[in-house]
Parts: sequence; C-alpha cells; structure tokens
Amino acid sequence: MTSWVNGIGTLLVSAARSSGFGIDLVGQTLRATPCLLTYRRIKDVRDLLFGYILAAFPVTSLVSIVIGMILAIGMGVTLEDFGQEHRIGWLVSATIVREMGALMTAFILAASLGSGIAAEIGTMKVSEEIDALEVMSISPIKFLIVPRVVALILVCPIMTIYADLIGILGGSVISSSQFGVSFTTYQLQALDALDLRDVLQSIGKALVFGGIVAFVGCTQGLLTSGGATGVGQATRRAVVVSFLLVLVVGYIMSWLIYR
Amino acid sequence: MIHLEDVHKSFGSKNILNGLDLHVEAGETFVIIGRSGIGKSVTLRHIVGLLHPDSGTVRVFDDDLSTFSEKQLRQHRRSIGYLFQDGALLNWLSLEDNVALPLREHQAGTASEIQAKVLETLDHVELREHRHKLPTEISGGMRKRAGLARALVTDPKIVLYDEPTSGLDPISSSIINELVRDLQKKFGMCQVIVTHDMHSAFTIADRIGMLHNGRLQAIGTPDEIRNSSSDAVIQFVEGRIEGPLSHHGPADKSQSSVTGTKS
Repeated sequence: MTSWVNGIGTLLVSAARSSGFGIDLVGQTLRATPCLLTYRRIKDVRDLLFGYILAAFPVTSLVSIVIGMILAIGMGVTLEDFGQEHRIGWLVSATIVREMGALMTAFILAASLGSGIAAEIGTMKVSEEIDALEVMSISPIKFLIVPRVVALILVCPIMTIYADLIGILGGSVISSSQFGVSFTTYQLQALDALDLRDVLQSIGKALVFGGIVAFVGCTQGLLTSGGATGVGQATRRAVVVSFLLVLVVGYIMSWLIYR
Repeated sequence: MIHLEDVHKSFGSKNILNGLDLHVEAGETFVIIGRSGIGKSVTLRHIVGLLHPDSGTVRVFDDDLSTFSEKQLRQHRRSIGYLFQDGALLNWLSLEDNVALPLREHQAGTASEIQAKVLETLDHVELREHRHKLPTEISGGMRKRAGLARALVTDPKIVLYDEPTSGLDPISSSIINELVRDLQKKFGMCQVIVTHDMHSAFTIADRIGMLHNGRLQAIGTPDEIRNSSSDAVIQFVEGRIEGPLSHHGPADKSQSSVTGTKS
C-alpha cells in the first residue's frame, strides 16, 4: 500500500516538474524567437521543415487515405438505408476537415516527429552535447529548440491540409466503387459541406497541435537523464503526453468553436 | 586565475564537494585525480559555471561567478575551452562544422577567416584530412582530438579537460598528452585536467591534486605525488585494492600532506 502511495506521489511530482519545465520552455522559446531574424536560424528552420515533411509524408498519406475510406464505408452503409448515399462526400468532407484531419495529423506527427525530437534532444542531453553548447556560449534554446518548434508548427498545418485532401480522396474511391456515387457528385457534396471558416479553423487547430507536439518533444528531450534507457522513456513520454494534450486541447477548441 | 574556496555541493542527500579549495595559476597545468564519482567533473563544471556551489566561492579571472547574470556567464565561458569525455560533438555536423560552430554562432570573423582558423586548429590536432567526416565515422581518439580542436578554436585562456585519455589506446593517449603539453608551451594556457590515467597525469601536470571526501586531500608536483607517503595517494597511484580509498577502508586523515609524512 505504501509503495503504491509512494509511486503515485512520485508520478505526480514528476508530472508537475515536467509541466513547470514545459511552461518555462514555452516562455524562453517565445523570448528567443528574434533569433529567427538571422540567416543561420532561417536556414535551420528551412532544412528541418523539408526533413519533417519528407519524414511525415508516407505515413500521413497512408493513414489519411485509409481513414477517408473507413469514414466513407461507415457513413455510406447508414446513408444507404435512407437513400442518401449521395451525401457521403458531404459527411466525409465535413468530418475530416472540421475534426479528423488536424487530429490525426497531430497524432501522426507526435508519433513520428515529436518522438524523434525527444530522442534527438535526449541523446544530446545524455551525451553532454547540450552542456557543450552552453560551454560554447551557444543558447540551446536558440540553436535547437526555436528552429524545431517553428518547423513543426509550420509542418502541422501543411500536412493537415494534405491529409484533408487525401482523406476526402480516399472517401471518394469507396463512395464510387461501393455505393455507385459519381466523382462529380462526391466532389460537389464535399465542397458544399465546407466554407472558408472550416478550413481556417482546421489550420488554426493544426498550428496549436504542432506547437503542442513540438514543445512536448523538446521538454521530454531536455528532461532526459540516465543514458539509453532514459532516452527511451523520454521518447515514450513525448508520444503519450502529446496524444493526451492534443485530445484535451482539441476538445476545448471544438467546444469553443461550435458552442 | 582559478580559485575555488570552501566549495560545498550536494545532489540530494549525497555530498559531493565538501569544502573544496583549489587554486590554479595562469600558465599552470593542474591535474585532478581521484576515484570515479568523487566529484572531479563536478569541480570542472563549477569552474565553467554549469553548476553553482551550495556554498563557497568560485572565482575565475578574479570574477566571482556567483555574482554573474546568465548573460555574463555566457561571456565568461567564451574565455574557456572545455573538452568533454566523449568529445560531445554534434553528430549531424562534420568535424569542420563542429569546430567552426562557436566561431560561426558568435560571428567571430568572415567566412574565409573562420575557415582559415578552423583549418589551422584542425592542423594542430592532425585532423585536417578528416574534416569532412561525421563524428560517427571516426574513432574515439579522433573524436577527442576534434573535441579538443573545438575547445581551442576560440583561443581560450583556460582549457578544462574531462578524462581526455579515457578509453584510448596508449598511442592515442600519448598523442593527446603531447597535444596538451604543446598547448601549454606554445600558448601558456591555464589547464585543469581530470583523469584517472596516472601515466598521463605524471606526463602533463605541473601539479597534481587528489580529490577525496569532497576535498583535495593531496597536492604536489608529479615527483611529490610519486613519492608521497599518504596511504590514499599510494593506493590510488599504485591501484591497490585495499586502503583508505576502498569503500570499506578507513578514511585517510592526511590533508595536503603529500610532501610530508602522514598525519
């Protein structure tokens, strides 16, 4: 019993410490953003941005198209019962652009890029590379954190728009092949479901989710201790915490938008 | 040049430094020896301001580091080179880019000036022809030499070495020792070196201090350390299992008594 209480206490203390560190990191990063005015940091952001897009591209493509197909088949079966299968495009498009696109992209980026950032920075921490930067009077915040956070915040909306398009495309394949809805009808319905506000809300959510994934990855990386095991734990925590925060913040944002 | 006075440092309930006094003069090479986990690297980290003492003062270039803001600390560190145990090179940068990093980040000259300085420094450590390689593509000894080049490229007045020869074969160790001696001869740098390698310590040191129980228990020239009558020093130098440094052995009571008799 005592060990359970101790364990829960340790977990809470650790969570509070990580949260405090993360919030402080956000403040330090915001204060350090003027460093982006230098050519070297812009180049870092550009290189990271392309690297992140390339890394996230295959899995985002696959997951988005499959999610679009799953949504189409699930909704199609129900709509067919009411003779409304021509509305599949409307529902798939609205669901993906308003909610699913940003959410699933954030999950993909948390699993692929956020974990990678935590592992990269964690490895640098345990191999004294972060200390080496400090000794060289190079701010790790400006040199490592700002470029990664900015690149990931930019990648998230880019990949979300791409995921939205591929998801809608995946739905169109199923609606055409399984429910006999023409591509034109599907496209018209898909466009009818959306207005500019939906797209902008999706991009807004993606920007916030990108920030969450980046800051959680950086926080867990900088808090790493204990060699290879510590790096593994930091990577796992980065994914778990990102997922939870994205879900909670996503719900709050949806509530604020639609209520 | 470096003065640590009555420095105490604990991590949790573990006392690491317990009233440490250390004085290193300009142009001197001071070697700190002692068992693993005894606080040698912690001492170096205090000198460079990566750690701050719980109590006591750390003065470097006559400045008390406890009075420094973060910005002043960054400025202070620019006069200090630090060789980490495994070099601590950034894995995604070539050796050349690693060595150039502090100069580029601080915009210390034009691109061609930086290039010339980097090549000159890589020549010192005989790594010019490997400059395009990544740290993962070279041996441990070469990584240490590259780390040394990065520590030296800013022309520091003080260089700190954390286990410069650990994990190296005898020939690579001798190359590093030779480099350290050359640096002192050519540039008169103040150097503090943490090592377990007694051959290296006797080769490069002007003075050696043995850290034990959070203090320098013995300080002397290499000859004085070699001929010390302190049980702790004898045990460490000769690598004996039994003695005051062993986990269950009695504490060595001698304080700065290397040249004299045991107290």
